Amino acid sequence: MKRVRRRLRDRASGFFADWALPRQLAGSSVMAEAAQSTQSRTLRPRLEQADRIGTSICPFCAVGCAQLVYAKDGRPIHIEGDPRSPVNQGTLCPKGAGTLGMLLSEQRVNHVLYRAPYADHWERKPLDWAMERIANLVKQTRDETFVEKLSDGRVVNHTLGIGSLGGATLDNEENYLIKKLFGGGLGLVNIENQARI
Amino acid sequence: MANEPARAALAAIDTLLADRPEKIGHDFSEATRRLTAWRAHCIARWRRTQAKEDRQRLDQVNAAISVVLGGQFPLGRVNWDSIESVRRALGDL
Amino acid sequence: MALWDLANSDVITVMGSNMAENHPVAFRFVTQAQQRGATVIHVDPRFTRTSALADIHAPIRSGTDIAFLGGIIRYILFEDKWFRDFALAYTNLTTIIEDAYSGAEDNDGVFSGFQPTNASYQQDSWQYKAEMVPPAIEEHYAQVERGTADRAEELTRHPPPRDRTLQHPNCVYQIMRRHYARYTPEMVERVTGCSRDTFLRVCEAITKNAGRERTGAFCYAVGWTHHAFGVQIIRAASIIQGLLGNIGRPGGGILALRGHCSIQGSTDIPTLYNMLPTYLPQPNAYDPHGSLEEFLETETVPTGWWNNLPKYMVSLLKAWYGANANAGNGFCYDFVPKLSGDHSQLPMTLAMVEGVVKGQFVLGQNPVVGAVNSELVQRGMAKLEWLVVRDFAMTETANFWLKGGLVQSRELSPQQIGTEVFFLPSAMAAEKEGTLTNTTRLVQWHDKVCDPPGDSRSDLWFIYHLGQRLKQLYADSAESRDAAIQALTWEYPVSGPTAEPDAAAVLREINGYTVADRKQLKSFQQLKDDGSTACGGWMYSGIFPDQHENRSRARKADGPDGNGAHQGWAFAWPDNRRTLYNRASADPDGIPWSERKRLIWWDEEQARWTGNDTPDFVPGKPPTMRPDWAKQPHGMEALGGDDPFIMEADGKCMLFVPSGLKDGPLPTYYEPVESPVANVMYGQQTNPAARLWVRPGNELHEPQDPRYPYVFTTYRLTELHCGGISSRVTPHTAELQPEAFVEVSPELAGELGIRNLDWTVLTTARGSVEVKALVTERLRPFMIDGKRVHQVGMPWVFGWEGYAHGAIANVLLAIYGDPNTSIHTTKALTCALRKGRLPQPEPAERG
Repeated sequence: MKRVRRRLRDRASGFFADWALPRQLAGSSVMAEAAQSTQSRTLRPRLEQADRIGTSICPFCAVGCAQLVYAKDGRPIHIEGDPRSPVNQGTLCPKGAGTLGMLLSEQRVNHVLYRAPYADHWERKPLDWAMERIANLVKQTRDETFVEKLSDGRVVNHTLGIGSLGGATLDNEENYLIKKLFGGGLGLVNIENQARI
Repeated sequence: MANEPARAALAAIDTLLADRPEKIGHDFSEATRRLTAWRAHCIARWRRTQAKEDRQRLDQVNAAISVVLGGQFPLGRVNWDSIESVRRALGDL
Repeated sequence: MALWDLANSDVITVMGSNMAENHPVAFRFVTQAQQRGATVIHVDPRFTRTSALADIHAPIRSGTDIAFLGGIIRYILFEDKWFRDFALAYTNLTTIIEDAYSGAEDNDGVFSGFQPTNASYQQDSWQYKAEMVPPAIEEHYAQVERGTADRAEELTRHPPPRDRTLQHPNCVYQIMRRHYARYTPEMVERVTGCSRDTFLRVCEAITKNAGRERTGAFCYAVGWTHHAFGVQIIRAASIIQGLLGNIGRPGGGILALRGHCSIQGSTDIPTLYNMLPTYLPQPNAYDPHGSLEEFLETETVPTGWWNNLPKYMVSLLKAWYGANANAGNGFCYDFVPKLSGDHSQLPMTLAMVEGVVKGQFVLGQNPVVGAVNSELVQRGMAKLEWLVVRDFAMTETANFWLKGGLVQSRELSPQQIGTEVFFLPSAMAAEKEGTLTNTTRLVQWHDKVCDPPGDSRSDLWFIYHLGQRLKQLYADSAESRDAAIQALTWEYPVSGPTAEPDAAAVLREINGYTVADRKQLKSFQQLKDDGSTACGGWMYSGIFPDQHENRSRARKADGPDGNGAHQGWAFAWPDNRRTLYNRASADPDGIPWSERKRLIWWDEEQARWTGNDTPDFVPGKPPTMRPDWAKQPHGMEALGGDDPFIMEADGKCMLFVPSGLKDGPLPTYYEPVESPVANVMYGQQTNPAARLWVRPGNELHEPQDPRYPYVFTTYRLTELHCGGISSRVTPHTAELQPEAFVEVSPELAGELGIRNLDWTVLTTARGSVEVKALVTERLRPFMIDGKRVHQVGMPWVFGWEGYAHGAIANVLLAIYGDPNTSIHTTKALTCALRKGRLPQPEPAERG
């Protein structure tokens, strides 16, 4: 009983010693020690745990805000606006500020899904299997739809049997290789992306 | 020797050439769809036979699709000469 | 203009954009300008947060922008408010047009040269008198009679015919006065519904802040582009900016606020059907493009910067086909596929419906939500043999066969859809490295900081390894049609356990190198047309000037004592220039128009252009230099030291456009294709050259169709990003905007008995959706020519996947396009609206 009382007393005095309000009422700054407590003194910035920091560019609109990305063990732990950027000077909008939530979203799909013709369900497949199957389908469709010349002799060297849509969210290097392979290599002319519309 | 998909596609191109529609509409769409049906037929045959003449026919039907689709969605004006040339080429089959 | 340059503007007009909500970080510069005394104007049908922060909100009916901007042009011309010294020297205001030209005012809304049989224009009568002016960027071969193409060479013999007194009846100034005479403030009010007083306040604010000492800017987004005359809306703004001297100067310009992180990059380094990298035209089977020689002869503009085309084209072919490309085989030009029509997204979608397209890649795009006429899109996808979707979370496009509209309505079941579908998970920005180009041409590198989870891979990985596999599959082919894939250069180093290709190696190829010793090029000035240089994208040349110098990684912004161009932060194409056409910031003699608005100027002692930006001009060409016409000069030799607009054949800002536009040399007011009212300006109701593809499932509403009485518009939200799944699977943004809605004015809600949060049904000829009503005064009815017109608006960012759900607005829209760009219309259509819900389909057996 005595022990309980003592413990209560210790906790009460600890609470009062920690309680910021009396110190602040006494005139200490709310921005300095007067705001501290035992718990806050032990807190460390999450960013200290980062083993890697880099600059990324916000993946949403075309303003091009720079982001500082902090990662630990290959996973992002924090993303904020890069204060050095003359574009955003450290700020981000609600979408940009949500980038961490996007990267870590539980709705991400991290494996290949395959739907066979006329099937009513998805099934998981190995990436390598899918790449092989896609390459073979591309070749077959291209070979069966390719046009070297129109009937009046005009050379076209194209196929209208395959299309590609997308690119406005991809890197320049990715778009370059898409146009190079699909257009320059395979003869696709149906190459479009959100930039059109 | 002409099969049913081929007959239908040729008839659709003939209608197209007779009507020469000013606006993209039913005629072009009909011709394009008939040609793709014919192509499906040609592909099935070519997969089966791997014969040179079947491949040649497939090539010609694909070329016809390029020209007719180019009329359906032209950059500028419809190139009727090309469509006539396609019809002549297919007629030789 | 750079985003931060907006802070230097004295008046900013945001129009066709809800900038504060959709580009909030860029809007900081608007508020900075406002704090320095600038006037901010918002012209928009809705009262949004942008309107709330503006000094003037001018509400206009959706789609009437050209009436409003045409009214401003009239005000500038008739009240004599134009910046005379600028416009006389730097625009084609004085140029004389062909005698045969007749304008829309003479033909009830149609220009001379119209061919009703194929709804397109012959452009001969729009040309400079006795000359042919090729378009600056030749996306499409100008539809001019073949015989007249030789007249382009006239540009090398003498300056275009001009009348500096502006008296000639066919000089551009007089033509524009006649054309815009009817765009009076009263007419603006009749058409747009914006009061005459508000309109005049806008005119005064814009013209008061122009001239030597002051500049103004326009900011727009897809509110301007998503129309069947979107290009002409932007053209109208460029006429205003040309007349007022707001181009190439600090705080002046027209800023496109684009919507995706790489939307500028994917236009420059295009995944677009009609262009090769950095705006070279894709060859067309029906143009004189049969060989490289013929292509270059046809497309090379005799005068101005684009005269360099052969160097860029040959260097691109060298980058693609390497040692296989040589002068003897036309540098493998035959391998480049030729167009045979319009293969842009809308026709591609219809080609899918016709069964022409059999296999489709969808790479980080979600057309079931983002493309117009969503159900027709799904009908097309159901006809595909195979579909590859790459994204980081499940999209409506990937599982259309399971949960799509056609399946929900029981029209189709999965057992009837034969499409073989692959979903491949993709890596996101911080999980891979590479460059993104922002909306002001700023190319910024992003680091790989974390690892993509599971089987997620970058698109670079996907396309590189797909290419490797295809090269193997075709390695032994002896067919001529397979020579291109065999010849394609495809050597990029890979690293790590997943064999990730090196993005820097690809950027080095885009930058360009010498073929003999593979040295990085310092600039596009070094490019040659003899095959000795290779370059994947000439405009980006200089971004990687040395094996180990990647300028897109530069991270040194200006300090307080810098000049504000931030040239040490990333790389802006071309040549790290931050303001295009900045030669126009100085007067014809090379002296800044004013101390307050100086940017670059001619330094007599150093005999070169200098200042606070890299000159967008020949560095050593003095302002006094004039072409030596006796020598028949070509290229830049044909432009004088006072011709700032170097990408144009005559070096002038084109107020009147003689070539390249498919729907007229001057912006003209047409009603939207679907409209509740008649065009009161002209007998011609809508754009006569619009690309309409009416077919079953894609019907259009006739003007004033009583079944569809309301103007319908769509838009985005701060918290959710476009049609992309990215923000709907992000917990906190999804929580902020959890559900779809339609905005209805209290007046219309009252008429229809709709209360806030009631279910409503929106219907067009394309489809119906049910969605909850948000009754709000942000939308108000307009009085249009004495008739009350209601407008409703719906965000198009929702779908059935993710945490935030709702009806897909694009189900309601139709597939038709702007004649110049084939851009779809999402901003001004018509619809029906009622209180209630859609009938539920009968449950069908699922096996």
